[in-house]
Amino acid sequence: MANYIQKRIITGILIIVVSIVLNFTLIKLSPGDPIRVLSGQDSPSPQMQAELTAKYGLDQSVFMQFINYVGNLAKGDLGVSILSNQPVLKMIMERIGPTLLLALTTAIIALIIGTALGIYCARYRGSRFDNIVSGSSYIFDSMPNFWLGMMLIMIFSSSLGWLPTSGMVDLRTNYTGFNYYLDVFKHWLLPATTIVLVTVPYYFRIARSSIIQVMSEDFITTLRATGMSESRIFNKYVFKNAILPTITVFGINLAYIVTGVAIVEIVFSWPGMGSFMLDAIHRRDYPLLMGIYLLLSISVAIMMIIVDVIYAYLDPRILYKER
Amino acid sequence: MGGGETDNCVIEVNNVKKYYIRKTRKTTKRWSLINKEKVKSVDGVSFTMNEGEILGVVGESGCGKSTLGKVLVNLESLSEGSVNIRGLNSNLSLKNNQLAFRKKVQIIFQNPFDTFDPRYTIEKILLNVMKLHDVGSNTDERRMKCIEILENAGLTPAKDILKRYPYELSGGQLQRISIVRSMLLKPDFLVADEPVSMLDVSVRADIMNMLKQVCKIQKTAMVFISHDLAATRYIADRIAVMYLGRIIEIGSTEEIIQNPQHPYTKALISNSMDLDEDIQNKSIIYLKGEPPTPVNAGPGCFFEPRCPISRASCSMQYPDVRAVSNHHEVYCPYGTDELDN
Repeated sequence: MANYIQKRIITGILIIVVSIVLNFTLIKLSPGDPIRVLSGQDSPSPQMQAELTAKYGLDQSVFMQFINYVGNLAKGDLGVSILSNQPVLKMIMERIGPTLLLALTTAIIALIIGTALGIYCARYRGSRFDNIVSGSSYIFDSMPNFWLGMMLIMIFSSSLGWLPTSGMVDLRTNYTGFNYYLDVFKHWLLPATTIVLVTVPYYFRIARSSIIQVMSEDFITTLRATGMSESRIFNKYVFKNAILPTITVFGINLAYIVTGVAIVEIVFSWPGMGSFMLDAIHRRDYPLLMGIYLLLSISVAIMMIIVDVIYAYLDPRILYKER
Repeated sequence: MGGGETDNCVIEVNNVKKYYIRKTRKTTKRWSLINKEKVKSVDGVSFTMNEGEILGVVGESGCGKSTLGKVLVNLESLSEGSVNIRGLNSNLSLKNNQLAFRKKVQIIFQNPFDTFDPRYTIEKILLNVMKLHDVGSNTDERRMKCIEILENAGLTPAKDILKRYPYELSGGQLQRISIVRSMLLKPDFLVADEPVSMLDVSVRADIMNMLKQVCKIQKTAMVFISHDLAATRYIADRIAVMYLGRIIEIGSTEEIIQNPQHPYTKALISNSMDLDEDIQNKSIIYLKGEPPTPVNAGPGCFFEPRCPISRASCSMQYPDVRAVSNHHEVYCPYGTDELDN
């Protein structure tokens, strides 16, 4: 097992290294002139151009720029945003909290609801409840999340006026303590509902189909033939075997946690990474973009390691194949 | 049939039927209607078996052999008829005490690779079964017993095998463990559903010897389901030939092989290459066509459309049983002598 984890970690580090190189190269290759954006002019004077180029190290060779970038990374310095002139790390840290709040809570809620529904529907396959849930899972799965978000705003905010339309806190008030959390909760409710509604179908369908598949495996029949009770077979054997695909999907979901909810964040003006990243792309804020991408690739790599380890724990065959 | 009258009768199968409901879609000009039809997988099977007796059930794919096996051990509920084990109705015993019933009645499956949960070691698998049925008083005692029975089954080194996962073992080893697992409960009745068909030819004989031996020692009645006539002949005391959910001929093994009365049995034997040479010398009988659907096999003999000696009366009514000798019964009124010419 230790050997296996070690291997996973080395792979993870390799992924991060490769993604740093790729990030850097892709952004250098992308069209657009940062100097023009920086100066705020269509044709800045040659002197201004030279100054800016020197200031951001753009006069050096691409290779040297890369060396500098990696060197700064090693020091924990992700660079300074071109637009706001603030350290990238600090900017990301300010924005990541709300995103994690929204993405983590919804991921866990969707996982629980989806898996529970999947288990229930698999046990009572073909029942009316199963038909209704399975049918609506396709409807919600095919709904674009921004559209669903807008519909929810129209119904619950514009028409009924129950919930706020956007943001994370009401800027006109100054709540403290419990009232503050209540306010955040009210703002959280609509975007969270949107995300949960579109992600539950994934978990639902995966749980349902893998349970149905495991139930039809021969070894379940063998267990039945040994006289074990149905509920024990289900809890001890079916569930453990059927939960593997769900864990995979949950891991993949978590890996994209920082950017996965970006569109919903934009729809609801949630002060998270979503709109922030979009801005960085529009304005060619290279240091900021590279910082965000680096964060993304690190989170993907870490989630992959964690999922692989959980997987190996649950299914010993994986360790066996590695040998 | 058999020796059902004596005290050592283990299982009594009375007119067992298993129907499945299949939904089909019937499309008319405007509507698509859902049509329910009965698939008669097992359609009235009766026999009895004594202690330690081995009954071979042979037939082509889809004739209901495996379904019969599952119905006999109550993994599938039967639609009609009854199965009595040691004089007790198996449906009732299952309802009264599931564990006690399952202990008495065991099944071995075709594919040894899928028989075990891939996430447990062999030790865990065997210990779980023993614990469930209170074999042995504590874990150490159970483990000792595991090692003993594995070694008896030729699985050495047993200590090493106990620590393995199912996917680390070969098909032959797994099938042995499968047999060990069912026989350690000392069942009265065992169904072996094509236990050797997934294995290499080289280990088949070993597995069959092992099955035969444990059944004789523990006096377990076994139904050996197979499509391999030569293997069945080797292991079985009696053979039942199934066609489309019904037994068409049943009798002692040598009777069936040497003196088959049903044209279908005769065709099966003539196509089986591994049997004696004197049987082989006779010409091979080729059957044309497919068996009729088990949904609506028709009022007459099910084999009539393919039968080389069918007569007009065959399609009118299903033939009655005809006793050839003491323990040999056939569902065909005509002899098969004319097939030899």
